[in-house]
Amino acid sequence: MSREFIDAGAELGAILLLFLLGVEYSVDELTAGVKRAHVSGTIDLALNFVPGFIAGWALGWSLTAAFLLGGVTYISSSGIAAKLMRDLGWLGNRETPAVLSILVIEDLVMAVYLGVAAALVLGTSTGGLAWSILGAVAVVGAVLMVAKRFGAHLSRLVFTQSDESVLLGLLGMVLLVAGVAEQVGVSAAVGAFLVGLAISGEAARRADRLLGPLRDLFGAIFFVFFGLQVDPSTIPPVLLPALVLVVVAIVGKLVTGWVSGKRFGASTGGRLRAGALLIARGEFSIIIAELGVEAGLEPQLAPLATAVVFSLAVLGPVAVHIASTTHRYTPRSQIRAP
Amino acid sequence: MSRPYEVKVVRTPLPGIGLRLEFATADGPRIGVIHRQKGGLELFISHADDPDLTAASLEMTVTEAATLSELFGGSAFSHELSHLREAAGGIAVDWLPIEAGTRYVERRLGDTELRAQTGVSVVTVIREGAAIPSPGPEFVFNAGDVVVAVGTVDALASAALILQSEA
Repeated sequence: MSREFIDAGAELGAILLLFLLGVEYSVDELTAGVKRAHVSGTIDLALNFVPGFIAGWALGWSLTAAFLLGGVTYISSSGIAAKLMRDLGWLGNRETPAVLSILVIEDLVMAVYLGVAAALVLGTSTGGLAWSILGAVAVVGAVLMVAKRFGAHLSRLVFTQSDESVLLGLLGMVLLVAGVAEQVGVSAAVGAFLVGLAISGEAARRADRLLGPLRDLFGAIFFVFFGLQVDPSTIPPVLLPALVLVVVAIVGKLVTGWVSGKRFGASTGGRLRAGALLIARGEFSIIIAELGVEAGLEPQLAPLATAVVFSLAVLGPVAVHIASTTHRYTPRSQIRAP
Repeated sequence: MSRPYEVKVVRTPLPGIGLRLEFATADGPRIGVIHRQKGGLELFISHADDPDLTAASLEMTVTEAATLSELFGGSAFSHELSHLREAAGGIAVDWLPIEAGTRYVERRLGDTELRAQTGVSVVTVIREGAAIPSPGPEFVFNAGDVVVAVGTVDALASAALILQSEA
């Protein structure tokens, strides 16, 4: 495969990942999520973004690279968490809405975060940066307003046609908005995410069905592309900081899950399960790391992010398994003599 | 000193997944149904010992769910409904309540965008026992109204989900 093909495929993969993430949620769900879980969402940000940021700073990285590492350690993998909850049949659990609201808030934070990260990577001056942040917040706000008011019209436009025209229409719209967003300096990913938010109802179901396989294909190319850029010999030197970050990242999410689960009325077992479900980092951490790699920011960013994300992607499900088996409440009436 | 046991249904939105409706049984375990955004239903029952943890869950189609509720009720009314469903080749009628505290109380029928979003047609609204036929988009809902809608079984399930959304 030629280098250009992998490049383009990877970019398409990242755009589709974010677009379909936006499709998953409606604007109402986002605002309700923020209302219900802003306290635990803030704790999540403090406990999981800050350690990555400090680690980058302690390693003597630039502010931008440290900011990116903070994003890598912050965002849980909604893909892994959702898959675990579905496969284990946990949607009926008390802590499930607690986990989902944290994931919703993280995704909303991510929309603004990517805008800021894109501005930082472009190396804008402090004044320009302030504008970019304001711009990112304003664009996110404006699209949320428009989606809330006109989302149904947008969805209807897509809804009435054949599968083929829906597929091409959606893909064209996403790429167009992503391209424009990139030109304005808000990052293509944010544009794609926002188009996803604006689509709801039946159109969202079709978008998911038609573009899901494309996302899986190009998403895979994106991960291969990222993996290709990491030289395995660069990983051993960053193993110590990676180990520290993995431990801190696990504790951070356990505390987040505990607090959030408690607010939703879950008992000890439920709070532990909520924390364990949030431990896995995944697709979005890699997208953030790729931003830095693409800009050639910090040679240690890719190996460190790889080590941390892949350890957590494996340890997360293991932690969920442990949480589900160790803390099972045994009532006295069911204890039998050996 | 025994009081009649009251069933209190708790509705929990599950962002990205759908809506969960459940209640705690007198014995302790919770039982409920998850209405998926992507269509389909899931029935779940929590552990007898740890009511936070799901003990069993089962994916069901709308028809299976309707059949299950008929097994519980067995009323003449639900039998009639299933006949209607068979007779009209997948098109069914459903009675969708507008409950107090949900989003469309005191809002217009047009605001729900039911037809655009799901394809169902609202035939009648039943208010305080009286039918109001062919309500227009300007029709304003009261809490306690029952919307009589016609559509495919899946479309009716989505419509029910929309009308149950939180304020």
